[in-house]
Amino acid sequence: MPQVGTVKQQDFKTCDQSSFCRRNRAYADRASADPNFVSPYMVKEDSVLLKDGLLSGELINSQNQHLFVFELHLLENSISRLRINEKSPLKPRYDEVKNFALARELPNTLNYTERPINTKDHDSLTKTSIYFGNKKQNMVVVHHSPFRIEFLVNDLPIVAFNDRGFFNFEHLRIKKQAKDNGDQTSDESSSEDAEDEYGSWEENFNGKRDSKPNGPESIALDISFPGFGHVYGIPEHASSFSLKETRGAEVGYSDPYRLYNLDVFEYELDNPMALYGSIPFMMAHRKSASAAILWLNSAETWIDIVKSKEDKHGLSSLLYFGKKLPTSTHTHWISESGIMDIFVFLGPTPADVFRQYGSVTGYTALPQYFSISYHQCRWNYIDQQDIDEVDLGFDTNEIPVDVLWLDIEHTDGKKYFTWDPAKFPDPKKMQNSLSVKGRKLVTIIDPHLKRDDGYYIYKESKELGILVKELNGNDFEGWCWPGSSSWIDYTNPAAREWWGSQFKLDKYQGATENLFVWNDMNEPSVFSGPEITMPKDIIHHNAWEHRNVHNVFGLLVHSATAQGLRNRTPISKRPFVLSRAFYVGTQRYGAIWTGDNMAKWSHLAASSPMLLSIGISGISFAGADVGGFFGDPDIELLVRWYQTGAFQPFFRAHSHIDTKRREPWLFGEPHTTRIRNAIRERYALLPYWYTVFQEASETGMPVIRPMFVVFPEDEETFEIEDQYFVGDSLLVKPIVTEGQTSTEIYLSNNEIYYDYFTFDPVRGSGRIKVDAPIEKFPVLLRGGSIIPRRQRIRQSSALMRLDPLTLLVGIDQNGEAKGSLYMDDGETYNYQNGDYIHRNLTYSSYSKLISTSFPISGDNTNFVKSIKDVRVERVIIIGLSKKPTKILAYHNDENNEVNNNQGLTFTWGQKDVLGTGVTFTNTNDQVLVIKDPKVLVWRDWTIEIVF
Amino acid sequence: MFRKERGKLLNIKSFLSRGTYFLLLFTCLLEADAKVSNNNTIATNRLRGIPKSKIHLYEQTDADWACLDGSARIPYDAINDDFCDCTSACMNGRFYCENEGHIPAYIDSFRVNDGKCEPECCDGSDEYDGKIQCPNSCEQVGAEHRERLREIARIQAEGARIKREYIEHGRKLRSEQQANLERLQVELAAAEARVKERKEALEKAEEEERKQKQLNTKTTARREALKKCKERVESLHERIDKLHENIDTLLKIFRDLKNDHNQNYHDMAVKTAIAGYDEFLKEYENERDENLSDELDDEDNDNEDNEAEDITPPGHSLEKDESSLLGSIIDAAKSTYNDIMESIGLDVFTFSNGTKQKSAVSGISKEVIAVRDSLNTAENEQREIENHINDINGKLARDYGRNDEFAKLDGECFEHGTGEYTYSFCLFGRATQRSNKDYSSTDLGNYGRWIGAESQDDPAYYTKQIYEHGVKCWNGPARSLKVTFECASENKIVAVSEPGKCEYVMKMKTPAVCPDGEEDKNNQKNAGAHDEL
Repeated sequence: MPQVGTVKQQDFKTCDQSSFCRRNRAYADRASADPNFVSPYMVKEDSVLLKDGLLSGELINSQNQHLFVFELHLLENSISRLRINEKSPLKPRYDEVKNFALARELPNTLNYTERPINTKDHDSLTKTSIYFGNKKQNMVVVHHSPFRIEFLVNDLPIVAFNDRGFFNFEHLRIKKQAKDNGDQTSDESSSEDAEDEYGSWEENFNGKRDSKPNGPESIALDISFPGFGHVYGIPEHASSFSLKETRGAEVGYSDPYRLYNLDVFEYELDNPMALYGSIPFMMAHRKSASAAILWLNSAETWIDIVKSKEDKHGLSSLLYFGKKLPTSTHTHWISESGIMDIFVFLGPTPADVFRQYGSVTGYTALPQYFSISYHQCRWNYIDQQDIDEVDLGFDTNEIPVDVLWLDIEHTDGKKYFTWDPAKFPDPKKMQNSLSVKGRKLVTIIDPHLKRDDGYYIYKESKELGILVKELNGNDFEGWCWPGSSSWIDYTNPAAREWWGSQFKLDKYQGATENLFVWNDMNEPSVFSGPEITMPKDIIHHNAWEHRNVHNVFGLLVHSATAQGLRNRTPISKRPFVLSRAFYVGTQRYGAIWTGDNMAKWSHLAASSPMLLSIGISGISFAGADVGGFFGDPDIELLVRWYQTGAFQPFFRAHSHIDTKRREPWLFGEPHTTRIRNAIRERYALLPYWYTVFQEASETGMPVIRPMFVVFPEDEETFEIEDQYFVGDSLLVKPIVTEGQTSTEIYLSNNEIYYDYFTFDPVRGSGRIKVDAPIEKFPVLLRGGSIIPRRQRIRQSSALMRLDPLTLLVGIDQNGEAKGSLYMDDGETYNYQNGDYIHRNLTYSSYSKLISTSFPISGDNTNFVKSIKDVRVERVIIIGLSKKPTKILAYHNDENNEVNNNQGLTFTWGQKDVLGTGVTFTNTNDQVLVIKDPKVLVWRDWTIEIVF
Repeated sequence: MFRKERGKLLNIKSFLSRGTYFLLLFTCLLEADAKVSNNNTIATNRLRGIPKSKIHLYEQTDADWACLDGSARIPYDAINDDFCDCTSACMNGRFYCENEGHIPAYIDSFRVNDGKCEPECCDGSDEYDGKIQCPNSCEQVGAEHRERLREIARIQAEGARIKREYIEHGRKLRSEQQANLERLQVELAAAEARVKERKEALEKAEEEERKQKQLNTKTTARREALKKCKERVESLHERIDKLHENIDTLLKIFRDLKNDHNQNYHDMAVKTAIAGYDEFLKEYENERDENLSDELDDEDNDNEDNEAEDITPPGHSLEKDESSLLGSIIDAAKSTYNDIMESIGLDVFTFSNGTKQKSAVSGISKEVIAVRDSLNTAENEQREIENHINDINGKLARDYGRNDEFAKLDGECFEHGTGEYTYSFCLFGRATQRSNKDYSSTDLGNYGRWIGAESQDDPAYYTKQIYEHGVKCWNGPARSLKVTFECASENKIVAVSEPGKCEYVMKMKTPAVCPDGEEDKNNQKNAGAHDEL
């Protein structure tokens, strides 16, 4: 059922209106309906060759005898990669996206064994089976006729290709002449004719024509996850975290999930429609197994999902021992053009999958420290005075902020890299007055250029010939904010290089080192174009049609900008660039946000599943506009949104030009205090957030983690999307319903938690009721965790740099806890040479809190020197069973205690002292607060608690 | 009565909030120090950021010391040991900078030792932990400050002098108007009597005429026809005016839609509507141009505006053209009318721009006409007096400030250009925004009320006005303008901006809000009045 809403559904295609999607869905329907259907693709028997971890061979389509080549790579890290192309295509098919999306090409593993052919087993004659992986725990089986591939881990099937026979590779062809009678449709319905049906060689949508000179060239494949009831990922959609079925299900969608970067105005929730970004990565999870696939293709892509209870692989006997049949998930991937290039990540744990996926596509770049604090944006802060007043407003209201943002109106006539001379006469002065407080400025730089020869960016790029072209060779012209516009062709390396150089401080007039960048509208958004984007038949570098590169275009804008910022100073600083469009690998370049959401409770609720989906697909540094972009939030919604945003990775308030002002202090008390508290909590936790980001940058673990990732064996968690972990220590459940003052939070495994704000213990298993008055919302510290905080609130994160730390220790049932602390200069790449500190924090059952160093490589110590006096000023330990008699602290390489023998001052059972900042009444008196142990953060130290 | 009680309540409230603030000041003192005092019972080397007057609160009377907020007792040694022991002192504290040579200041304690020199602490005392050395610039800052104060004092004195003139003007105006009102009320009574008298006379005259008329009915039928015809033309005329207004309104709505619509909506309905508007406008203009040229061919055309058209700025041409169109329609109506007149055998007479000439053939007796004329005159006089009274009552009721200091400015208009737009407004009247590109102007609203504070007793009450119910924004509120007044020796708009969509704010300098001795005296008087309750 189409939903009634604000988005103009008719502006965007359904599968039925996209001819290649329609054809492949019809192909799947024929295959499913015919019990005698057999996939026509077969391996040419004499063609198969296994060498150096690569199984290669040829495929033949037995219906038309067309030949294809396939390469099955067995890679390190339990990864496999299947590539299929036509053997001799009429002209090259697009295969360049790998150069943009992948961080590196992994080498083939040599750790594999081919299963010998058993001549007695007839079946084994027509398939190739190879064991691979460190313990040879993985196996791939290539069935020759029909062509079909299975991946198994520990002998259990995990992923299957062409299991249902939907594999369809439309070869390039020459257009047939229309028949004399002018009748182009055929009565026969063979697949070959279907590919020449109406829409294959020309397509119209809403009066816009796609000339399709190459005719039909789609690729499609069914991918099954046997025994997996849940699949996740393929952002960006405003949909549930555990993906819904798209065909024939009672609860589900009628259209496939679509991946096609689009600027969708006031997007609808619970919908498979395409949004601003696309990551064709899908993860499947069940008890004891996780796996994922990456469908590396940057053309328009549709994914159908159905689930079944069939037991095709005999799984029930293997997994469930006769209990009810397991659910399997079957997907159908359909892309408009390009070649087939699929990665399979075999897990078996969620953490393994993230590490494997990151080893191919890159891990989250370690962000600048300031960029994970609070951002204040609006369309638009209208002039320099406005910026000054907002800046001052934060100070007078004692609210920290790091970044003020300028939207499109700051420019001279929407010409990016310029300033409106009347409103921003002295942008450097403005940035310098922000930087005195450690604050930054972000300006918007969009990829569309006003066609005005007086505009140097346009003029230069036109003369360099680096603009996207029409079929006839003219520069493409479309409509965007400045009116008639052209677009840089970011697929051209020279164009990216040139674009990056525009950020040099002697090029971008009015910019200082203190200015960072926001790339909006990079789907790209073209108001006059089909579906508000570029026509598919316009031409990019190396004569590739836009249809091939559409989904990666935004990433290229983002990466060129990030590289430009990185190169603009003699000593490279980490860039901060926010992008709206994204693709596989975006995590290497910067942050993204969920686009133009609305000031509605439902959109606040949707932010969690959306960010979880984006996060497991590689992009941890993501957020949703706090307050909602369109419309005016009431104050309760705004307060709840701040509380939620403070616990999401990218924390920025933003609002539309038609909305009322909503800076945090404009609503009066008690609201200002509530918002102030939320923002201050983010600042207090910055050392923790930064440590979690560092982990993500090395392991691929998402910064915010779905419940199933933390509790992979607990089936109850598999569908949970309204609560999540920040790192592995804080469990967060945002309040997203009006008037709500309590909620239920799901706890797994009967572990102990502590209310983060009151230190009250929370125990239990299952759904536990917790209070959520408007002043706070459920954040639980997981028992067994140690998290670092900085409780001295400053005007910005930069001014907290040398402040002492507080350690918050929550003891688990065994009387233990652990955590870590990572610190570096927060802006350069010196950490890559070892200039950081990384501490292992443990509280053992021997009642010692110990800080030891992670192994550090390199000997660059500038940063370490700069923080040599930074100390731990407070330790809060929750969950001790009795009052200590004495507490001692010492650096491990010194015999003497830091303090005298009388021990440290501490309080027991009263939280409301020693500056804990906790003000809620509670019933937990088992709180120990140790005053100023004076141990230095960079050294090994021990705090000994004597009972 | 009620208002006064409310005022009292608010006073108590504001006292309470002041009290709270004071409390915060005290609690902060912990993270603090001052290089003062010989009192050896106070650990002066530890104390920072505390004014001399508060030092005694930190006197050591015991080994322990009670936090000023009562949150805890701590060892005396713990005072200012770079650790926050007293709860509320940590986040909400204030730090006192002595600023010798300038004026002392409090800053938020979270701005102490943050590695940045606070401009408020010119003595550099806010950074004492060695992260950074802040210079002592109090001598220079103090000198500049004193110079600025002198300048402000000079402006305020000049402003206050002018304000006293305004107040005097307001006082005079008020008493003059009161006197006028009394006089007018007497005049009104006389006028009413006159009207009554003449009405009676008219009734009498008409009665006599009716008798006469019965003798002569021959021309009645024709006269009736004429009358109907006239009525018909009049109503058509009105109808045309009305339709014309409607077209104007619709054109304006569409023009606003076109200018203000949000392109990001990509709304096909809106785009279609705008395209339709453009098309219609083109046709409409063509049609008008044709009509115009027709008119120019007509030698009898008495449109006086034609000559003026060439020098009209482009933004106004629409209006002129439309009135030409209207003219041609009226011309057509006139000739029809004349045809009818001829057909019924009456002399042709003409219209002049819609104003009817008196009929010479009405057949009504001169006596009746004379009496009627004199009644009309009397009625007009009465209306005029009534209007005048209403006008004065309106002004007397209007709130011109505590001492009528804004009366002088009633109706005074000011302008301010911001590059793209010129803003103008007349005090207690209308505010407008004019585009400097196409000179189109937008109504920002009419004077609403004073909004400087909730209570009229608050001195800030008369420092801010709102002009509201301007043209509604597409996808936004009705436009409004908030004007904040600041003391100066002359009246001048200094800034206008649009911080929220269609919500404009303006800063205006005026002597009318300068502090003056009068005001303080009045305040005291008012306070006295409250006490008597």
